[in-house]
Amino acid sequence: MQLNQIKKHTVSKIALFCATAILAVSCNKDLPEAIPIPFQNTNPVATTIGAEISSNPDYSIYKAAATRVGILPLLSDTSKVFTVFVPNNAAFIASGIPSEAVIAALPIASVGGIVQYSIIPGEQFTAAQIPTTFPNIQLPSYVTIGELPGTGVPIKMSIFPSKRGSNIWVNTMPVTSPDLKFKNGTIHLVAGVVAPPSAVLKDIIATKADLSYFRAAVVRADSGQDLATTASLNYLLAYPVTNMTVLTPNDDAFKTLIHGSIYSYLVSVGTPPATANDQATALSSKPDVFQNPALFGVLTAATVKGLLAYHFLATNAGAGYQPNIRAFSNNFETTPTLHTTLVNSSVAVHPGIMAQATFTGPFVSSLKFTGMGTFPPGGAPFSGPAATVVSKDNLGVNGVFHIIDKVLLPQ
Amino acid sequence: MLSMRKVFKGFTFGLIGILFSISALAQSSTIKGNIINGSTNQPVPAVSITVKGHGAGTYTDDKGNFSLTVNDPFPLTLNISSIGFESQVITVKNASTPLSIILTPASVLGQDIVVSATRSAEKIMESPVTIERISAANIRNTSAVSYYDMVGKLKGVDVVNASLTFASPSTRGFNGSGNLRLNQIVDGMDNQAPGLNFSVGSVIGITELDVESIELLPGASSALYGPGGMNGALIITSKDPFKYQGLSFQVKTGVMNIDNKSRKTSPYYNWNLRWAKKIGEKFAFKVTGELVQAKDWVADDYRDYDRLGTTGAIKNGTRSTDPNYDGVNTYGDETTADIRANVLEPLAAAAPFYKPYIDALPASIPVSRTGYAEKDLLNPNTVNAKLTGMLSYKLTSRTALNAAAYWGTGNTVYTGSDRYSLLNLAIGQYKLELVNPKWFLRGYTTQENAGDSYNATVTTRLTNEAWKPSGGAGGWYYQYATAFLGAKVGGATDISAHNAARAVADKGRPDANSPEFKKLFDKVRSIPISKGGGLFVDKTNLYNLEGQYDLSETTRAFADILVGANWKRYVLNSEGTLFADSSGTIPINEYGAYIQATRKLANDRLTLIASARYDKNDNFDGRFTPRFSAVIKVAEDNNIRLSYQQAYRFGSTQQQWINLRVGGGTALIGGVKDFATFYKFNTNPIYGIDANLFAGTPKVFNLPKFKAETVNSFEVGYKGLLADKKLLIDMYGYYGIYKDFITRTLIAQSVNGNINVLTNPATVKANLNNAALVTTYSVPTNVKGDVTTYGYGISLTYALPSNFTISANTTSDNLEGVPDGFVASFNAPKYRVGASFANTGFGYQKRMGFDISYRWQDDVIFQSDFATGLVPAFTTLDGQVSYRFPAEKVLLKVGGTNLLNQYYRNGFGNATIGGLYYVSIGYNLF
Repeated sequence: MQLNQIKKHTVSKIALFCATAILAVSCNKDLPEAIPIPFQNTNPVATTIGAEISSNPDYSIYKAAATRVGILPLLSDTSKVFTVFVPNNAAFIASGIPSEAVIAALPIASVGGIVQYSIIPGEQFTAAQIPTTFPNIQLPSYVTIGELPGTGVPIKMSIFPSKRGSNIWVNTMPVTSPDLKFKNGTIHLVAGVVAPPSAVLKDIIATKADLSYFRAAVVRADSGQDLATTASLNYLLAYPVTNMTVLTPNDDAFKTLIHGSIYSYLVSVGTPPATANDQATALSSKPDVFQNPALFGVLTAATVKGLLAYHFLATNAGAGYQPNIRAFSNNFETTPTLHTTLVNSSVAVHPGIMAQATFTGPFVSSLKFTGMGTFPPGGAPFSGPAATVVSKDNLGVNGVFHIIDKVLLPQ
Repeated sequence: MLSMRKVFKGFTFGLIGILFSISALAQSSTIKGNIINGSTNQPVPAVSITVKGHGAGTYTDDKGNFSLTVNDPFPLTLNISSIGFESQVITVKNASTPLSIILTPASVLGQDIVVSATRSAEKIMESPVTIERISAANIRNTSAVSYYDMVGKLKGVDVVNASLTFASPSTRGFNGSGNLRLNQIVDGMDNQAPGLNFSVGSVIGITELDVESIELLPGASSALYGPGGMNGALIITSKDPFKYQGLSFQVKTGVMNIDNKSRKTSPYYNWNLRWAKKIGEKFAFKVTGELVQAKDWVADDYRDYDRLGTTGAIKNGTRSTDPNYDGVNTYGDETTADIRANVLEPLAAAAPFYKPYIDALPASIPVSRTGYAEKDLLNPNTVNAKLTGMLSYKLTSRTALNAAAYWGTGNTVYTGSDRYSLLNLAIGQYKLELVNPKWFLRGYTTQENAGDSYNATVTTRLTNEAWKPSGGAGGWYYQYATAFLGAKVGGATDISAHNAARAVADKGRPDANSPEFKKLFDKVRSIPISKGGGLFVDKTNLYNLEGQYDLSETTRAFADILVGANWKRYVLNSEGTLFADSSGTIPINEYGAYIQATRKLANDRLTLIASARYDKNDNFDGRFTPRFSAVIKVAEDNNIRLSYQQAYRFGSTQQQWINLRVGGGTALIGGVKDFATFYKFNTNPIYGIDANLFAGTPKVFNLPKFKAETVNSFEVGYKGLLADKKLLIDMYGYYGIYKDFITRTLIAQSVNGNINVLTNPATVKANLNNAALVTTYSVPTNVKGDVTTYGYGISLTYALPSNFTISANTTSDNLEGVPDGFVASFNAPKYRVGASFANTGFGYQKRMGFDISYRWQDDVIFQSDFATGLVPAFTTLDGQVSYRFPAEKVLLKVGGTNLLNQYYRNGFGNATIGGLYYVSIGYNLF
């Protein structure tokens, strides 16, 4: 009887022990759940670009501009990232906008253009990410100019940062203080206001009085071409989404060349030199010389086109030589360097043109181009006289042109 | 009903013709009697009454009555035995007085008789190899919801639950849904689905009330059970209708999915019925049925999966923070494409002003399509209906002709290379056998029909395509990528732009629960995989013929000798949806023969057993596999066992002939040489997906001949009864060396024969996932060199007073030697611990019973073709209490599994299992 009781007691003790032990060790950890990838702010900084612009008194004019066009909240949005080329107050003053009041007085479109063109949306490009390769990097600004057909993707006005050594530019404007990092991107301070272009090259060229021969040459070069394709230079200059660097010889340059050509021709057919000189002077005195049927044998459409093609910088990005770069004066080298042109699309081995820039600080003080043909093609080097840029960095929506004082000869 | 083959018809009629001609009747008398339990005064059914020195015998019915007709002169000696009772020997002088016999319950450990270890009956204590047994009595007292789940409580067993009704047990490693290295034999029939390759034990098979015993042989068992049993054999035997008679039923009603984040609390129903009857002394039949209905557990691992072919790993990420999110249990998001290479770069070519900006974006921008969660896709109703029937006719007192049918159908979820919804799956096994204590001859067929089953991953991906195609100008990726670029030039960070782009591309995307989605989904899932849908048509069948003869009577002077042979024929028939059988069915023949000799020496203190088997398959070389074992009787009920076994496994039918594009886009192919020719591996080379490939220097992969794998397994064990026979100790240690270990490996082939798509380290990964450029194949292959497994197990069971028992066990399994780049899918935790405390009868008239069991397993890196990752360690606690009403033969039970309702998974990517609580009422359970 007693033994039985002990046994029962033992059993219940064991039972209790088991139950306790089992409960004690039966706790499973919660099953693992998906772990979100933590959102990383672009930079580990507390202040956003927008907050910095709002609070830093040195940016008050930019703030006024950004506020006026309602873009400040965007620059404070941490779900976005920007690279902003901010002119500080000194830079605005240097650009002729001395106060917030002036901003208030400017047309809103101009203010919007200035602010939106200073912003690269969606990416942070620090100084280290800006390439040193010729000529620069083409990036979208915040200025919308259209839409890629059928995609809904906006077309943005391009902006062109570049770097040489420690110097950085956006288009032609030097960056004075790069890589100010904020929570949602980077500010690069610039020396002045960078205004967006407002017209295509063709329309700007049309306003230049000393480019009348160039315009006439374009017409001559296009004769016989389909004017609604990029085979036409006129069409190309007006095509908004190309990206060109055009060297435009001024009227004097064309006159000199045409005069020489006609004179040489007349002398070669036995005209006395004095007569030849007079006739050449008369014929070359007006741009309609290109449309003179008597001279079609000398100024053939092909000849003129070949000549002009030599003034369009072109590179081969895989689909043949295309006018696809926008080289500002500050993008050219300080040592003479060859650059290919549209001529290379028909003469692939052509050495191109030689360029050389001279700098004073971050600004270009002189830019020269030299025709570097071979004659015959592929043969001995043939160097024409150097042309000097008389008006540099004329910026259009679709490119830039530099006015030069000599026509460059490919051969 | 599925039709049987002509060969079976011939076999059937031939046998019946011969056997019905046997007739011999002599002068006879009939002994009648009744047997009761001395402890409870209740009748004891299924007690065996046999005439000594003679095969004649009978069993008590459900009222404890028996009736035995004998032709012998009196007096006769009767052996009265029943598991759980002490045996009696009775001398009967005449048949005029009915016998009244009282049996005393035995509570001694280790008295079970097992047959699986040697294919002949022996005491479990003297088994030459490790063996575990579950009896019908154990099933009555278990807390497990289904008898099949009890297997998982045996020591050294791992179970992988793909869903509520789809459990796959394994021993000594290599577990996974539908593991291939454990033979499951149900009433003598291999119950592996011949096409789907998984064992269907928990879906189709014996119903719970009809299980007489489950015997588990961990470790190699090919020598007796044929190729395949590399890691063991599970042998389930149903109740003989002569022995177990009457009507029994059990109604179990439960509740599950409590506090489940993925599903509302839902009921669980399990109804069981068995009716067996003996008509006269020669004929008996039984019919059984089981119906399970519930809302399934949900696989709801939404972690982000970094997929590479059929391998991968969990990474950080959610749908809103990873554009290439691929949730483990979300489908459709396996579709991925690099929007930079596929859309943005072509766009940059057309719009060069954006080229530098696009170039500044990440080199590869993989984006996945938006997926749907499994809980919203798959039919939540799991249904499992089993129906079995058997006719048994005693041609002589010792020879019975049995015809049996096992048919099951249901809805469940299975994890293979992807998650599969097995919808209206139906599998039938039909058997005809002649059984004699000395020999048997058995023919059976397995008829499989996948019904409306479909691949959830593929179906969802295709549903996405049906709603909006991925490719093309109006395609999802084009919309996404352009919206992404648009958002970027609006200033958005990458992740913000991705989320904005997804919102654009997903605009109008149907919700998983919308009629529009269901319509699309149902349409896709009803189109066969071979015709661009998700349905797999599998009507693969298996035919098997086997026999065994015990020659011991004539060879006893030398040894007890057993011989047997079998022939198997698979007929693969998936109409090109699973196998490479689009042009017609593929037959595979397999045959084998075995012999076993047993000799007792040294005054029965040493038993030596030698077995050998030869097997041959159409696609594999023939192989001879031996087994040698010895049992040393140290003392009565204390035995040391030693064994060396070789096992041999042909590749499964899928490893031979599968031809399936899985969810991630990888082509799973078989190992027969026809594939290398078909996919032109000789002219368009294949490359290993390894470190060389990712370094940009791919190495040509030489695909060797696909061979069968072998294991040489050594085992030493001890089983003993100590402490006045109250303590049962069982321990084992094993060491297995696998040769030609079958695994899968990934190889890559350029679609266009252009090696350049594989030589750039920056793009090679993206290209591997781009089906237009690179085809990745998962091919079965043999590991060079040895893969070794080793482990041990120990269990202690102590019989406390008053029928209480307490037991504990711990086991360990380990794998070594798998080379890098090979997936072994070992999946066994290094350590497991189990414990239980139970009583089968205590209190008033011993009417109460209970069982508490505990199990812990260590964490394990779980590898499968579906997904690979860490399965955390978990514990489960199950328990039940029962009360018996002896007069009414009613057993009431209240119990639960995972009592603490702590959700866990035992396989990566598989269902999350919570608590299930039930009450059951059973009638006439024995």
